[in-house]
Amino acid sequence: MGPVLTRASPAEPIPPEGTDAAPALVARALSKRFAGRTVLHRLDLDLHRGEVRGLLGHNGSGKSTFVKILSGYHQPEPGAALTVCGQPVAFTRSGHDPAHGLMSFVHQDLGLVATATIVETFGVGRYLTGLGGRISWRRERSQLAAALARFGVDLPPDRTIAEIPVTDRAILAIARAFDRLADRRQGVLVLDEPTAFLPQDGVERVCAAIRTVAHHGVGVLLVTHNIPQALAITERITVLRDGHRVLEEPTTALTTQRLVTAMVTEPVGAQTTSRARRPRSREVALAVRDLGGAGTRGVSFDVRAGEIVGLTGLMGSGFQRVPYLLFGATAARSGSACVHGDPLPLPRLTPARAIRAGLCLVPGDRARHAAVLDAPAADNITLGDLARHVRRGLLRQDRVVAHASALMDQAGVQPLAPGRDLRTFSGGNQQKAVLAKWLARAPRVLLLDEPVHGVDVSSRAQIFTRLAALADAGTAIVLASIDHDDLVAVCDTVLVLANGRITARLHGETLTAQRMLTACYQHTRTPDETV
Amino acid sequence: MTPGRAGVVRRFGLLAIWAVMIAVFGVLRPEEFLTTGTVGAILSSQAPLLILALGLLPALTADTLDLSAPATLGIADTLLGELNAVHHWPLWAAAAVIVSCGALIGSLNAAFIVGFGGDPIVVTLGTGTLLGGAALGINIVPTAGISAWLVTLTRHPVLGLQLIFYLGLALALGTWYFATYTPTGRHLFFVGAGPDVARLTGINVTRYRTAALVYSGVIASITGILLAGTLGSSDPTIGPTYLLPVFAGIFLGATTITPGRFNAWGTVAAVYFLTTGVTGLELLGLSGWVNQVFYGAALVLAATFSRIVTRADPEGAQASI
Repeated sequence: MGPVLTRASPAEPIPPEGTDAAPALVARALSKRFAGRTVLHRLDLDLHRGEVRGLLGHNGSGKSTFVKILSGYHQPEPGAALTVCGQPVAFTRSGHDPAHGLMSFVHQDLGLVATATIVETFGVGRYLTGLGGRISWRRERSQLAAALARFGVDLPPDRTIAEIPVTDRAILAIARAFDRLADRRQGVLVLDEPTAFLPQDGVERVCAAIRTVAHHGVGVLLVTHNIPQALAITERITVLRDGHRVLEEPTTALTTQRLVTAMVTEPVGAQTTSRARRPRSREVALAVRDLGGAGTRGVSFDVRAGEIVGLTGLMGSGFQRVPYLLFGATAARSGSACVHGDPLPLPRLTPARAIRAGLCLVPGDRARHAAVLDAPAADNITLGDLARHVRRGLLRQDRVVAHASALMDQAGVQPLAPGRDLRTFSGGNQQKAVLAKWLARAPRVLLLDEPVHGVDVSSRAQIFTRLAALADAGTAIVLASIDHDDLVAVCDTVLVLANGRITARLHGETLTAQRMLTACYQHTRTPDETV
Repeated sequence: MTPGRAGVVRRFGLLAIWAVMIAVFGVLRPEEFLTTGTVGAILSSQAPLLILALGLLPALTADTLDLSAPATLGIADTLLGELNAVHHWPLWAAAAVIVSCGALIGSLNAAFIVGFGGDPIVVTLGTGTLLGGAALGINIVPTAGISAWLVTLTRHPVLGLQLIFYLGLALALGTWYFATYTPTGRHLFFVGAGPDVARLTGINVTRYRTAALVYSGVIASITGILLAGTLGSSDPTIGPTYLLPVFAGIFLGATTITPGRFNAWGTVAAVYFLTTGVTGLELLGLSGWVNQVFYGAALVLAATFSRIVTRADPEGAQASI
């Protein structure tokens, strides 16, 4: 049967914590610059055998860049050194061979294909072949069973990935990555946010699987946003901020509050405060009660006419789904909503009905949801209201262009060329055109998802000025964004979501980027501060 | 839109090649090719192909597909022979039943594609094959004796051409008007080019796609009736022979006049461009096999050109994706 079968033998001795054995991973002076901006500053990191290390940091802290250097996707700046199990790793232009057999990765999407069976998934990329190059499914099955037995799970090999629970998928991905290590008593397993989308009860089982890997002598690097989980299963935690290692201590010495403080950047100079503008009206324009669906639960809030309410949270917390649920773009499972007192038929809501009720949605994915880039700007902008340009049975393109031109001028779209395909405009001008399309409908409630994503600085300012002016004119605005500084600058109130629920309501004095970030990570509810 | 010189070439290049082709055949076979008889034959005999192609444009514009349209044409043609010639039904009754069948076929396609989310290629390949078999089940041999009134009507000469040619032109005009001058036509384009964009603008994507598929079934069945009229008989094997020419015409048509979009006048130009080529080659003595080779090659080239055409930008101002 050859050497391959020996890899499958289930009983493996747990190695002693030999002091002479080389550390699992030694990184020295890893730096990375993109377009003149340094995203990683001479990072040193030592990972011992059998250690579970947490790597924490907010968006842009450099932790993804670090993982991408380990996987060979990025090359570090000259002067860096990386040793895995005592073997130096060479960085080459074409991407270094990621210390083949010594490092293994589980990425955030787990790298699984929904329609593939468990046994296919397990073996893909290194199928055991027999005579004539055919896959030896018998050997694949015995390997799979042995690999899963190490983790104390038993999955039916012929089920597809789509048929098994998310937790089992994550464990399968971990078992597969572990199986890929040439010698399962040494090496490095990198888990990049493996539990981002797990149900709460599944986290326990995945943590147990991670500990199993470490018990074999492998160093585990757990990259995560999830502070409670990191505190529960890691032995040491490293925190990155703006590319610097700002904290590295044994987990037992750490608290949630200390980690949050380490991760959050102190604002430069005086704290940015929310715009000093109070809602002019007491009339509730949008009332949302117990909204649920697409990962959110029990979301309730009011937006008054003239108020800008921000929604934020970590990726996967559900905040970005709220505008789509309220617009009927994603079906809500439960809840109710009223626009100026008129109820929306929430579970059966369609975008067409939402528009009739006075709502508009500016989606975040411009190329897929907001506009057809290979069609003229004028056609995109006027799409929602073509009937007004029909005269004597003819859709008058000259009127369409004139109307679009006026809307583009008002929105500050450059160049003022309504006949040109939208693709030929810059990102910022495309976004202003998309905004113009919806503002032409004079919405009573405007929902936006990341309206300044991929937009240049001056267009950003223009878009925010426009939103503030709309609010002053009485439009209720809901703005979902991951950019906390933007939210502080434009919002009256910001709601923070974690695990699909609102966990903090910030406004006035409490509306700061730091409070927002703390709320994102703490998953705790602050007292309801609505007036 | 102010296309530069490159834009003009892209829009009218096919017409120029067509003119060159006519000139070449005219020089090689002056007595046969450049006669009113040949021109009339090309324009009239291929009118059913044109009508079928135009009927498919809305479905393709809405980013769905109906490969079963040629088979729908075939079964409509067969049914007309069976009901009208064999069972002596009055023409109007036979036509009513046939067009209803066309609508039903379109509705079934829509149910499987739009309702259950089936892949349009697979679904309509299946229904098309099913209908092709059904046509042979109804009658395995050609049937003569179609309503004389229908024969006279479709062949009625107007300025040297049969009436059916003008029906094709009228449908082209209607299709162009619909796409250019109605909000519904504009919506349909967005349904195809950006289904999520359309949906989030309040356009009922499902309804548009369903209507486009039903329309293609209805037009294909009407084309089957007209075809039986121009030929004076019905033939259960005729449907599948339209499959390649019709899609070659549509895809080649999308590379001209309004390059990058399925469009009525481009389809007219492409259908007759292809027919001219085949007729010319046949006059040069290459008959039989040349038909399939020519249409097959044209389909592949059209598919390739349409990719190139949508990629190249006349102003060179294409931003990165």
